[in-house]
Amino acid sequence: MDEAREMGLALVQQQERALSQLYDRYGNAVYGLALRVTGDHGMAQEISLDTFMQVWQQAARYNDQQGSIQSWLFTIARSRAIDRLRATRAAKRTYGENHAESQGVERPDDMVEVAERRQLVRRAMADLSPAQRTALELAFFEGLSHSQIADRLGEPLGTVKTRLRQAMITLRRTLGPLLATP
Amino acid sequence: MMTHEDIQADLSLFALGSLDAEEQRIVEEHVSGCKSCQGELAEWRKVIGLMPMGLEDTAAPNLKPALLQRARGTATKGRKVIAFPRWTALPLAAAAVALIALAVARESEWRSRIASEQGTVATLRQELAATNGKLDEVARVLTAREGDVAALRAALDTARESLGLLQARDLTLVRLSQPEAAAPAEGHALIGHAAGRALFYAFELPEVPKDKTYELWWITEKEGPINAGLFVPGPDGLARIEAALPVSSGAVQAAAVTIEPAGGKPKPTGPMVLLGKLEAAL
Repeated sequence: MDEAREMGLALVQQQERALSQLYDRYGNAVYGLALRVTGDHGMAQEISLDTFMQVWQQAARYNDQQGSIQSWLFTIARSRAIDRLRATRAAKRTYGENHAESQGVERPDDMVEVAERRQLVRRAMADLSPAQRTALELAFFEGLSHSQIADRLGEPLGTVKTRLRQAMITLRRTLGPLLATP
Repeated sequence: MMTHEDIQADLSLFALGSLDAEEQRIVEEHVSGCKSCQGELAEWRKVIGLMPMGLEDTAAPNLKPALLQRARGTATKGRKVIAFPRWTALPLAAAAVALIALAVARESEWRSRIASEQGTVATLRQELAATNGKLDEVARVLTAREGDVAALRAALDTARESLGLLQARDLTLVRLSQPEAAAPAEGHALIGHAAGRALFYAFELPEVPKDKTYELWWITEKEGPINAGLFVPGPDGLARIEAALPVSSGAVQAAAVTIEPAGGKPKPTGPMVLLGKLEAAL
């Protein structure tokens, strides 16, 4: 049984150890995602806790055929963060400003693998053209539809759709090696 | 209507959640019944699942103690903890394993049934769409038929009018021809004296310019030419008008057709193209 599936089963069995490992592995990423979307540290903390709690409580519903635990975790976090963003409308963009110093959290060995993944994803994002990246960030981090993105950027709808599609195709091609792993 | 290929091209945007509401609904409906799209969508979801990994490193505050505290709260909340003697542990574990296996089997069965039901719903939706398409076609044909019936009714009314006049006992036929023999055009007027009405037909009259019209005249004993109506021949050179006979202008001696400015004139001003005399003055 592979590691991810083992962790999924341990979560289903409500093993606290599994939750602890999941947090060690993805705690910073989930918090970073929530902070990126909302721009608010307090909200990011609440969203992080709620996200991990949702995974813990609904672990029995997890189906590894539909995606990895990591995907599930990020989907929940993003959805919660965008909901908060829409509800409060108070968030401010903070992209590029969230370089808080490490607070000395101990990283287990498997964080090396996570770090490698992050590096590859960053490179893939960097390969996108600035226009593609902007459209993708508006869709992903602010939850805007392509019509809303076209309005925001003052660009034709067809152009925005094409950019988003091309950006997704480029990402999928570049991230191919990671997609094979659950 | 979106085809399978259109939907497949939009799956990445669907996974991203960036489609507009109506597109989102259409894609969702299609995917629920399309295995290949379900597989493709899962791949796109994996891509999106990786995107947050590209964010800059952000050290989260240490939330683990609070998280585990909450998890413990939910793990024991509402559950009664029962201490069993040690000798019961093995049978209980076996029972638990059996229960879990049963639950997994039931879940798998339910998932399979849900997938099957979703397929049925998608098929029914497709059938409904096809039926709606056929209904639209039937409605279109029906509308065309109603148009045909209206045109036939109008033609029948015209024929009845003509027939009413033709059945009059005192019918007189007046033949009209061109004053100069060269042109082939001709006409005739069927006059119903008691009814005070007449049917006039003209044949092979040439087209007139747009600012001109043909005008039919009754040539009367007392007042000379009296306007009987304007007409323009159809593409086949045929013209038909129904005209009233003059009441107090004395006997009608002849019928004539002239070319006049559009809108007609009270007295003839243009060239006469047809003329026919009545055998006996009326």
